[in-house]
Amino acid sequence: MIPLWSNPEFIRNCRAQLRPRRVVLVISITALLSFVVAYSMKVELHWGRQYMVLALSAQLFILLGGGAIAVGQSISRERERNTFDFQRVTQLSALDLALGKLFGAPVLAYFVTACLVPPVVFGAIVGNVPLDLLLGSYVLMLALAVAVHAVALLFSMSATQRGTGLAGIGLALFLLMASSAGDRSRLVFDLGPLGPSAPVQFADTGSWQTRAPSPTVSSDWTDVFFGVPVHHVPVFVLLYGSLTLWCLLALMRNLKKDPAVVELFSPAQSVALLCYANFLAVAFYMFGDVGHSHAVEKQQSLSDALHFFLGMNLALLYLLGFALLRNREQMRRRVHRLGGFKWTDAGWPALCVLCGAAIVAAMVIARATTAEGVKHDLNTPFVAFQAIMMLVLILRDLCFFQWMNLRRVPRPMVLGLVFLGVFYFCGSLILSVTGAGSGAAHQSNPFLTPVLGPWQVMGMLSYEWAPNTGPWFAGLALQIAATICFAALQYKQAEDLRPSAAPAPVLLPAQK
Amino acid sequence: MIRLEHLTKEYDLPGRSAGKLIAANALNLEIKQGEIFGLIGPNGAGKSTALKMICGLLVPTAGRVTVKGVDVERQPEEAQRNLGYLADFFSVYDDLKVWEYVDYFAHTYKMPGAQIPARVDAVIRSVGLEAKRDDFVAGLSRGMKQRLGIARAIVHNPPLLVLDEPTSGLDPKARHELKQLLVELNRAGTTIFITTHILSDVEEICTSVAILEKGVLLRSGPLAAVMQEAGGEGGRKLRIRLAVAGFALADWLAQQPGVTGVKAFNGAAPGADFMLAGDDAFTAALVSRLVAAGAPVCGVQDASESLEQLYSRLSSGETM
Repeated sequence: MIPLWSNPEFIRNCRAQLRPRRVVLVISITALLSFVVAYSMKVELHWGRQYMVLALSAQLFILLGGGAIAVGQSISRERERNTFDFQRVTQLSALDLALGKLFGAPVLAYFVTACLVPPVVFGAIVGNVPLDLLLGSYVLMLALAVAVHAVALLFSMSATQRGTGLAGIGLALFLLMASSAGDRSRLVFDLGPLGPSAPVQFADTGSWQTRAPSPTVSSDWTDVFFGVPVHHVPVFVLLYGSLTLWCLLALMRNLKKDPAVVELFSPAQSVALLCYANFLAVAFYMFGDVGHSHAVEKQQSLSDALHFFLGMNLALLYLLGFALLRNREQMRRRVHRLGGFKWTDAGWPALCVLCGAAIVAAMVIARATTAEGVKHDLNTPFVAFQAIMMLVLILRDLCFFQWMNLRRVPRPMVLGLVFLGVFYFCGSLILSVTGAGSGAAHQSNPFLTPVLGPWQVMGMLSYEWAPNTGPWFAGLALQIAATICFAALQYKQAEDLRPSAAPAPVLLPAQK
Repeated sequence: MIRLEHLTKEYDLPGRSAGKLIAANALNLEIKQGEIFGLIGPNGAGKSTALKMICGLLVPTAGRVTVKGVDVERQPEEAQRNLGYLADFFSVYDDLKVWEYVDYFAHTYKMPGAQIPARVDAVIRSVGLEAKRDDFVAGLSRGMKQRLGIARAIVHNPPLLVLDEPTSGLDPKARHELKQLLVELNRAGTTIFITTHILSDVEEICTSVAILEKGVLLRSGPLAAVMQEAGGEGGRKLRIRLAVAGFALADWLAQQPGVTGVKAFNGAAPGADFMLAGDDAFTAALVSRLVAAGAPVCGVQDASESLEQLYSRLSSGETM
């Protein structure tokens, strides 16, 4: 790996973006603005701290917003300008190229941020903010910015012509999810703030102290990792650092590849990512033995915990399955190389998703059943049925999407999403009109829900399920049949991808 | 140097049931070291696709490409070390200076740092951009940008240059200079693989040629061999014109050894086209005998097919 300071891609970006005239202009503007804002705020009480918070927020906005836009366009724009292929044929490894873009594309944003450091330090001194807190805040900001930029770079690599807007939406959703994952109320995870405002919060109200678990004391900056209190700053850096590493892994695998055969992660890596996400979730989840560090104490039940993890993993397995879907080009190459389409390929990516689900289930059950203070209220057959039913539904949908992805239609995945959306909508509509989801209607027509809305098993209670196990098992069998049906359709669709007949041999002078 | 083995690339044609496009149909080709190899064909023949597969930019549906014995798909970086690439439609980094642009690519090819400044200057000089060394790329003309592209492709001194339509869009002077540069690079030991529409360029500089249409190779081999083969077994085509009518040229030629396919024509200067199997000395002897027989010969010319005519005959009428 080339050190960053001698990475050609980083140097190219520095040369292009930090011309002397622009540097002088940026320094002048930031200095002028900082002075004007400081002068206008000076009349207020505690203005030093407020000034620091304002300048830090500006830094964060520029680094996350401006930097992400620059990184998000770094590959897609090069593709549009036909310059990216030249980088792909050089000796720069995919990792070097990715790092050069990750730190090079937003170099102007970093420079503006650096120009705002003196006003921040000034505000901190005037406002009596400890400088070590400020340093911690910058560590958080850097970890967050690099992770956001890495996600933006991944979007940029995957983006097609119209992908830039989608990439922006994806990035905004990512930040929104990060904001809600580490919540102050700590109802799910014993984690401090993970959203984009965390660095500013830390400088403003943070502390380096780690509080011992106590039922009455709450601290935003103490996390609980498998029951052990740890400070939030290293956890924050670890979480965003590992996100960056996963993104870099995907970039390393694909950045220099033909875009037609991009595969974000290998099946094994996808399963590893799923396990890693679950490991973190399990580690920080507030089972019965936690809640010590918070004013709100609640007794967790085993079924609550398993329902939460089932829900979370449904989303993760969907994502894992989507990442593993093969397009026509990938399948065509496979068919050409294997000389035909194998039956084992027909259920793709079901086997991989099943493996991931089995590993994750073992991990979650092991932790949930050994955690202290959990109320054991589990109806094992019912929860097992729920898990199996939801897994089969995911497999059915993924096999459907894989079939759609092999079909010769414009935007097959969009079409697949529309079809599936219509199916779920209609199913829900019928169930809501007939009221078959619950109560007497369900008793009078017990097959309607398992057939049309089997996902409703997630919202059922065990006593509602118990009298109707027969229809529900029939519903499960129906979903398995649908999955097999979509696998068979994949097989049929792949026939279209078989090699053409070889051309008539041409006698070439060079080969005579 | 380059070997294509059953190289195949298939695409779906747009539309629900429009079938598939076979951009490369089991291509087998070998380009030897030291050649200037021209791949010709109409738009959509699969030239750029083949070239991108050679560079490792596209993965083949089946088959393989090796560059200096290295499998491009398995070890792309190792194979790419040996090649310089120029695309047909390309752009450059407008926000860099000319020397910065070349310097950037010298570093990306991991050349020894101490050699880079001298190499950058030498390459800029060799493409004739020394006067523009410190100018921004944005201010260069189309021809200059093309030369800068060549500078980028050769900066790491690759043994193989792969150029897609390198002379298209250039004015005649720039085209001539570029061809000169390619010939000089070839003399210095660089193997050159070019795709082009401009058949006169191929005839002028290429040592070997391949004709590609709809993904299928129609002919390939050394230029002279391809041209000779195009002429058929009868040898090369000659045309003799007489100053005045009166001599039975067609009958006389038909009786000579090595002469076939005689076709007489009349006009201001009557004469005949025919195929002659023999070398230049054989031709000289034939003409001497003809003059001795009393024919008023006023012209003898080689009427063999040009590459363009050959291409038109072989292809199914696709426009170049």
